Amino acid sequence: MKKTDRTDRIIALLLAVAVFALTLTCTTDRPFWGDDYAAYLNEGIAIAEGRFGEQKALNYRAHPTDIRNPQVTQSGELTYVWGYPLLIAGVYSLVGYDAGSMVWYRMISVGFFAVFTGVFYLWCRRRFPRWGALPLAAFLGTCRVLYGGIDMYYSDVLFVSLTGIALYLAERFTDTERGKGRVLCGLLLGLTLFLAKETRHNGFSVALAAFGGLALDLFRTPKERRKEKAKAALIPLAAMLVPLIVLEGFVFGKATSDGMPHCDLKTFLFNLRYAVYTVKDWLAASLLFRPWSAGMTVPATMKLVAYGMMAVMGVGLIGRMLPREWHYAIFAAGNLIGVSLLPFAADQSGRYHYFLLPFAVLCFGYGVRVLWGLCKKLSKGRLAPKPRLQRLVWIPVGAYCIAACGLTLAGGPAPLDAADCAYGVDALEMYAYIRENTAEDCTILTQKPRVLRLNTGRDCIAIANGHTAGEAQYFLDIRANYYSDTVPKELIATLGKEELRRIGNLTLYRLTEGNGE
Amino acid sequence: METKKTEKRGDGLKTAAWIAAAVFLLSLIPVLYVSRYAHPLTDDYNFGFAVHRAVENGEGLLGVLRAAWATALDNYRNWQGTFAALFVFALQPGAFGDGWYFLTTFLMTGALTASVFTLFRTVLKTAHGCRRAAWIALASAACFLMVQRAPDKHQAFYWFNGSSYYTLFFALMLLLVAALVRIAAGKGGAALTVFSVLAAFLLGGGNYSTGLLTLELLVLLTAALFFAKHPAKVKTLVAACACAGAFLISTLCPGNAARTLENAANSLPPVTAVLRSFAEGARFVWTHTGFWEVLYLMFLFPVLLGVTRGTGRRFPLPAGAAALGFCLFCSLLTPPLYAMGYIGEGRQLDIYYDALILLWSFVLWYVCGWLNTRHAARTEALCARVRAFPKTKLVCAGAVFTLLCAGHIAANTAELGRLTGVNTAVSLVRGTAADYDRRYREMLETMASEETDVAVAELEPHPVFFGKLYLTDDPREWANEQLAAWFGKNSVVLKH
Repeated sequence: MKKTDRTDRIIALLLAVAVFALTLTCTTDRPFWGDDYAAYLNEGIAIAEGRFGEQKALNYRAHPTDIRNPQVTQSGELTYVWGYPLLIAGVYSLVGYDAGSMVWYRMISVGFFAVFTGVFYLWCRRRFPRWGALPLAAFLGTCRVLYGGIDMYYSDVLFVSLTGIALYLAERFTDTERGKGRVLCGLLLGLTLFLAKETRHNGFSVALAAFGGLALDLFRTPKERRKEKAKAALIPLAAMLVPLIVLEGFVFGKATSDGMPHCDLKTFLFNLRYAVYTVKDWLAASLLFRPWSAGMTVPATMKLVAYGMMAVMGVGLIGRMLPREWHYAIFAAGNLIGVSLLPFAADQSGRYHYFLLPFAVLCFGYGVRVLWGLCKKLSKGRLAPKPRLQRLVWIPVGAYCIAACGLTLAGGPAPLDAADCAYGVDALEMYAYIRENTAEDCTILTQKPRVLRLNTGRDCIAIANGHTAGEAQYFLDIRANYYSDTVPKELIATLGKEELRRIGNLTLYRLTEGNGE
Repeated sequence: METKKTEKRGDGLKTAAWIAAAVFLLSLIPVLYVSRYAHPLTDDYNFGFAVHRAVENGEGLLGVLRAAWATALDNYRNWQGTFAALFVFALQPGAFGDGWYFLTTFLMTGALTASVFTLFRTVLKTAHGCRRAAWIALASAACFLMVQRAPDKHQAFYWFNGSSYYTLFFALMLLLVAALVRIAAGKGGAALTVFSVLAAFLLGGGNYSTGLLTLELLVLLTAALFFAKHPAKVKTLVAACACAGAFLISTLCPGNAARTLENAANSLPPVTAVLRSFAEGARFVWTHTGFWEVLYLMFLFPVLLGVTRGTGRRFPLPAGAAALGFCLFCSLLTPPLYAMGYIGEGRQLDIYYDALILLWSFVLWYVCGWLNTRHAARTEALCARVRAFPKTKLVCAGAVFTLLCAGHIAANTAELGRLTGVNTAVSLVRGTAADYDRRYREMLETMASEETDVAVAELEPHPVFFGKLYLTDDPREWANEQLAAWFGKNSVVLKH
């Protein structure tokens, strides 16, 4: 693999700055939907305020779906993954939490994504010429699908970014000779792997891929240097394990899952097909620099182009990635299988499949290289352009990069649907009303209990984990476009209630007696 | 003896340059003077609205720029992708006060003149190191034709929305070409490179005809420089990238897609559009090369023959160069043919005409250069014979030629009347321009009244170089709505 030089680092930096500016301009200043994000925020604030232990019980109480993990139900405590909340805690310490400071929490995903784009360029640069690496990185950096992920304020884009950064650092680590550089690289790699591991439940797979890469390199290293390289690999291992053991073992504890069952074969196959369609739609939409939601309405020819690109990716996967970088292929395939085993994988707006994107782009690059090599071979070298004119390829490459930035910028942020936004103007007005007009120790039944708790400080529940309507004195009905069934519609129809306040899609009711059963 | 002859020839050229420049400047006087009666019309109201409001609210320079940016962005998302042009539209002089609208004519004629002079100077000086008199004479003659023989005078010089979209961007393209010639000659500094990249980007985001032609020129030049391993190749490459990127941003805008669907019945398939461009281009060349253009070429020929002599430049394949020039010229017509099925409105014809004059100039320059290199001996002999021609006979021939021209003009007074300078001068004398101004001011008075629903008379009859409001009886028509919004009225209808 090629080593990157100073020019590459400058390009990577420029790319990161451009993507940082673009994502800031083209993402919303508050998150869509909100309840899952509120879980992260609640944990982050608890970490910053030093009451994480108390938060675990509150997590369990406000969790909106039934938990099947007996370990959790017995203890009455639920620990969400706390890698992202750890970063949120940092932001909270600086800006606090209110409607105005919301915009700063976006910086986590925006910042990591910008760095990742720069790193992805370097990652590609090690494999392709500069004119090949730049458009691939620009494609990823202007991918409106991932901007949609940032709009949700979830940890998905952060996780993809951490994965990419970690895998690049692992490659750099194997290349770096002894000295401070290698130690620094190893430490950074270890910390990134630690953060990735604590950001999502499948985070450990990143560590497996990274160390798989190190192992692969070890096998390719001459015997006499193997021992020294193996010793060096202890640096990232230690950098990952030390904070992991300290924080997981003694401070925050291990993240617990809610124990959702794995799906049957039919659903698994459906989820796999969904992943293929998702990638196809992403490509079609990204080629036109449109958000993914528009992917469904792109012209049929664009979809054909997307399928063509996927075929090229297949060629790249089989022709290059599998024979040379099988640890990446295993990582992507393993995670794809893992995600497809979840029964609700297809209900997540494709965010569970974000991790596929960088590998898809990389495979496309490989595919083009394999096919071009084949064409040159078949034409017996006649297709090769004149060396003097080869650099003209920079005209379409440069044009694409400029157009990608310009079109993304002109597209602006996706319109925020007030009905779906738990942090919108209507919602914030309702939270203020609740804070002023309800008792501090009251219990509120709602479809989004975690976001309501975050914004009102009231005890909030959904119909899950044994909670009944009888426990609550109030009911906040959130009629979002994406209707949550955490309080079943049938139950809402039968509840004895009196309307107190209606703001947009939110209605607050006082519950009358006899709703317990 | 030889030196004396050269000096004499040089003096003659100097006189010709003075005469050409004087004729051109004199012909501009009525053109510019009549601009005091020009006023904003139709799309000027639409695109200048936000800036007009910003000016009225005293938001300062930043507010004005923000309003222009918002106009460009809004129209980009909903109407058309030419973002740089949209930004310029928003800054129409009338938005700063009706009294400033006269600047449109000064801006357009000034930009066109400056760019043509710069181009001629750069090309002829860089390639041949020619004297100032030569390029001034040639550029003055070219500018005279471009201003006086513009096919649609209103849309070329008196209506900001139309003229800025085409004439202004065409002028910018000529400046870019001049800058590229300097860069290719190794004379360009960092400032010129920055200008080239910026201009290329803006041209890519301007009208599609100029954008496409600029892109073609940049790609051809870059390829040539790479092939020659020229040190300036990277600079032109960056400019080409900027132009291509901006062109992509412009063509891929969502508004364009919607309009393409609306115009699907009229638009031509890409290949058909390219083929039709050649036919329409040839027709345009044929119909717009008349008496004045032939006169121009006759004036150009001896000057260029002298300029290109003995400079050591090579001019191979003149037919190929002429064909390439014609192809590039035809590519100006391709975008409107592709999008609308015809070659476009008057404002587009204006730049086709400007390009035609430059095409003829280029072809003649190249042919003269070829004659001087390939047939140097014959050309030199011909020149010597001309120089040896008795002065009295030469004067007689000149007088006969002048008489013939005068006769032609006298027999075709309508053709003379179509010159912009003559047309505007006649209008000033007859008072039709002032009448037009009076009717517009009456409209302003109606708009200043307290009524919220007003009826306005159309600005008719109007001189050919001014336009009208295109009002209808339906207040929801775009022209009515734009006027109503600008003046803060509920509705505006046509007064019969």
